Amino acid sequence: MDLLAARALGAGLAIGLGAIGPGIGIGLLMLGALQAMGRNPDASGTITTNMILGVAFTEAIAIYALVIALILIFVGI
Amino acid sequence: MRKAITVLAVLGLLVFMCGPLTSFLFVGLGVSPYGAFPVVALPAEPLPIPWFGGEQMSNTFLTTLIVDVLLLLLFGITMRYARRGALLPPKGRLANITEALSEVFYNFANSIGGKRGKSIFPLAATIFFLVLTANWFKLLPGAESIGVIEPPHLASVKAYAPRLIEWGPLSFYTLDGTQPRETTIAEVHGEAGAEAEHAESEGLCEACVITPFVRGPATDLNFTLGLALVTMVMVQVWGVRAQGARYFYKFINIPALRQGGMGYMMFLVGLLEIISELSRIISFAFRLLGNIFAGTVLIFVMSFLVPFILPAGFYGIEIAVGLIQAAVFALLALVFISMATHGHGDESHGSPATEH
Repeated sequence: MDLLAARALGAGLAIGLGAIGPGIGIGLLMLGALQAMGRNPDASGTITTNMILGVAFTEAIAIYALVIALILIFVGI
Repeated sequence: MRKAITVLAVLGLLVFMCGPLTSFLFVGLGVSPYGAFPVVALPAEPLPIPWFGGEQMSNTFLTTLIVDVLLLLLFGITMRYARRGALLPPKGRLANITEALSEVFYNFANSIGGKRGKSIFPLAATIFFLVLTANWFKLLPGAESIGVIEPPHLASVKAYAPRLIEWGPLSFYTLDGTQPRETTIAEVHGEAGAEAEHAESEGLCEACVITPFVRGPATDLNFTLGLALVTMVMVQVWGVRAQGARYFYKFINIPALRQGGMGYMMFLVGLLEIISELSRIISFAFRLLGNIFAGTVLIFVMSFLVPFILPAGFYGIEIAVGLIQAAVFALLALVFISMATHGHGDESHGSPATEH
């Protein structure tokens, strides 16, 4: 396989597979936060803060996949 | 209220009509409506502006400087109105918005940081406003599209022939999008010098790309990594300031070793904390970079997929993403700092650990 083609394929696979887990995770986080807000609307302020924190940590996993994809595309091997 | 809605509607209509208008304008000027595909490059592109040590200033750095000046002006005006006590509209409408945003953020910092919120607020608010202005500045028309015409630096980039446009007294160059030419690796690395000389003698290159003057600072890793390093260093500084040298027991937990048993586990967890602290720098830097860079590429691609109307919607998304990412960066900085100022293991978790 051509090196450029292999790199493009690898980058696509890296971010595509790497986004599955965080996607599910952020969905679950959002589900929990929205349910909690629905039950206790008064606590929505603190729930939102903690939810954003959790989303940021979950998102970090997808960001590692993105880093690999960017390295594959833009950094010469 | 009705006036504001009318203004917004007219602005919206103008934004929607931008694509058709510019393409008709270009057809009228004898230029093909095919646009030249912009260069998608992760490293910042150098501009022909001399900088320290014979280096060339990069376009992201130039944009950062512009954004800094804008922020200083904005807050200078706000401070002037605030000192006079004239913050009510219509005198200080812009200043009013700045003050309102600052106040929202100040209350937020107080609710997270507790009694230390007041001292954490300046750093977090600076990050918030800098990132917000930088993200929105790159969405202005002309950003990432007006620049210097030059031969490409990268391989496998579509290069185009330049074309002179005379429009009354104005004359400028654009790229003819009809005949793209892919550059090869040998061309960029081998013949780059020869081609540059050739271009200098002719005054212009044959196959060119546009290096924009203004490019979003957050699409450059230097900007985001700099902010991330500053934030994480300040987290340590605040931790030491709040707890003294005891703060470092979070990483190298010597008191836990004396307890034996579960204490060894606590010591290992402390070592893991070092890794997590380092990974926070990476995720801080790449979260902002990834989101903003992906937004840039998204707008490029969408503009070439459907040139009319659709890109306007994606600009709306980008405005929201710019705000959210700025808020998330500042919010995480606030949370990390207030987490570092609270004693972690010693007082609250110390006694249950001994019971186990």
